[in-house]
Amino acid sequence: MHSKNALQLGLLLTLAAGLVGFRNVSMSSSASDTPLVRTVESKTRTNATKCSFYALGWIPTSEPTTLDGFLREMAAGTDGMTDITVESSSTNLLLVSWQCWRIAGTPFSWGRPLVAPVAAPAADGSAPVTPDGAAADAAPVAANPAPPEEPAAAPAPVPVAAQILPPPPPQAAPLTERLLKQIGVKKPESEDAFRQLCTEVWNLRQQNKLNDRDMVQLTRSGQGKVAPGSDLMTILKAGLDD
Amino acid sequence: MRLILVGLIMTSLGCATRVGSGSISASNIPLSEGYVPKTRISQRECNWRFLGMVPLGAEVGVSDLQERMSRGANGLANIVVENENFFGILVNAHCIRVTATPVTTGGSDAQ
Repeated sequence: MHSKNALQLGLLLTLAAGLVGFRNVSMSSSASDTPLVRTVESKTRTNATKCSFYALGWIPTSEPTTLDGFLREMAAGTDGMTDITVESSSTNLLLVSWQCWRIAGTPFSWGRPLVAPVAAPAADGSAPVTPDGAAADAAPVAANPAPPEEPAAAPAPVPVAAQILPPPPPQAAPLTERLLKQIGVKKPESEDAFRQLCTEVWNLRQQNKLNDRDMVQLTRSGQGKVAPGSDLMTILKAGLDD
Repeated sequence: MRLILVGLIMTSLGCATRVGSGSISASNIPLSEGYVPKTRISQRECNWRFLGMVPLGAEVGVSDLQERMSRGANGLANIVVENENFFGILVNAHCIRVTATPVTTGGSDAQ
């Protein structure tokens, strides 16, 4: 009889402990999720929370959210995040438990290079990290790829490639867009072509010590000297001939 | 007998819990512009313990996983580490998942 009472008491205590549950919280922080190899233009700081639920403490009720998946979701459409704080909280009750990720960070887009970029092509054909960091993001992300069975062969030494064209300064893009609009020409659809054009416009401006107003004036005067449909650089150079 | 069985089940369920945590790092080596990213990979390892303290098998840590993932490259970038602890009545498991992008630095051989 005593043993039966003890068992019932033990059972009740277990149940009570399970119902009361417990909560575990941990936190970590990181300067950035991406190597900062150039200056960045910060956007508005953001934060989000995502939870995964488990039955009986360990059976997921839906596809559990991984920290990596959540981070990539939050950083989508940007070049990465800086000033990251990750908080993890696990709450466990008797029948159900849940684990939440809370990520706070400041999304960014790339600015000017910190040093003159020199890159070599990879032996496996993957592109080096370009000034806008596109290659890193473009790399296919396998959900759970099988681990490499044996170490991959070291890439053969390769000649250092030509210097990558640095991106134009941030002011160049709005200026170029404004000049294109003025002559009624659409912005090039290719990002590379647009970046190239921005760089050329910016170089022209720097070489001739022109401000924004001068550039607009140059476009106006150059437009009258060239055939209709001429590209922006041709118009600008014609304008400079005065 | 039935009571004992119910008691055992309840105790097991009461003890079955999981706790997770994670961290993020830009890279495990200093990187400058011109590094070459490879395909992003992810690896997961679990360390099991009997009665909370007796290890069942060799222990694998985050550094072991990172070293394994760095083979054929100079280092790792965009690293995300996730920890998952499962507490059962007889066995505990500590699982580590590392997701990262192996990188080679421009012009140098991978180690």
